[in-house]
Amino acid sequence: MNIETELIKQISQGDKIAFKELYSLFSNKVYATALHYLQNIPDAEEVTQDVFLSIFNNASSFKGNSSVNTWVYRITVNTSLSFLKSRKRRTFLFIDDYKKEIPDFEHPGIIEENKENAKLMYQAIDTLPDAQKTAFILGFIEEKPRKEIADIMEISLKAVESLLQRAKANLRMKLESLNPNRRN
Amino acid sequence: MENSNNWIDEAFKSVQDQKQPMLNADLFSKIEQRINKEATKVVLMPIWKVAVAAAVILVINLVAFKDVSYTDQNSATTEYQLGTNYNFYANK
Repeated sequence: MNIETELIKQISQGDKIAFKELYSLFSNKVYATALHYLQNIPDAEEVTQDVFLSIFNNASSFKGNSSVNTWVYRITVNTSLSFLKSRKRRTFLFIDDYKKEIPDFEHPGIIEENKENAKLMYQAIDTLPDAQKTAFILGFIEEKPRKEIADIMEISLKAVESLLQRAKANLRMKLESLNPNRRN
Repeated sequence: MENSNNWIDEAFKSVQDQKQPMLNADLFSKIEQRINKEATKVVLMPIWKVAVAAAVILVINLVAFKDVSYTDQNSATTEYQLGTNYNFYANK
């Protein structure tokens, strides 16, 4: 049994020290992934909290069919997508107006000279369907192996490849439409 | 067209060349607070449920007690009749 699986076993028995250890192993990864989806720091922090709360409450349901890493990423992707859906619903019902508060997302990890391009990229990523968005975030931005993405998304390797190609094609079209006059 | 692809390729690269974003240091204590809050909820919830359960048990006991009293009266009558019968045969 590897250390991560051992930690999950201890967490399922209510061990908070093990939980803190797992948090220090995964919190940065969870937050970084959530931030790609939500493009908003407070929302990404909220999703990070939700993910770890879910890990704490559901540790006993971890059967070890996949690695802990895959399991944590699956929870992160699902929680981020659910959060996005509820945010869209709230925006549609005028409960929330996040777009007005944060017109253009500036990822805090992007280097200065790339900021303008990255802003357009994130606008384009936001328009992708959920599965393409996940394939692109995990496969292109985070550069995860295709096999790992297939395990996280519970789809075949071929399906991952297809989603990634379609995501890239759609992003190219979207970028051209966002900035049609730009040539270099 | 080639130039157009240039900036798009650069835009693609721009999201790959990034540093790990800094995570708020207070986040873990916020998660702990939420876990404790949920645990408190679990403790608080049963209090009213226990009160309802206690009331239900009390009612069941009262009904059962009433039934037992009634059955006791009937048993006493049967015993008396049996006793009478016994005496009847004994005297024979």
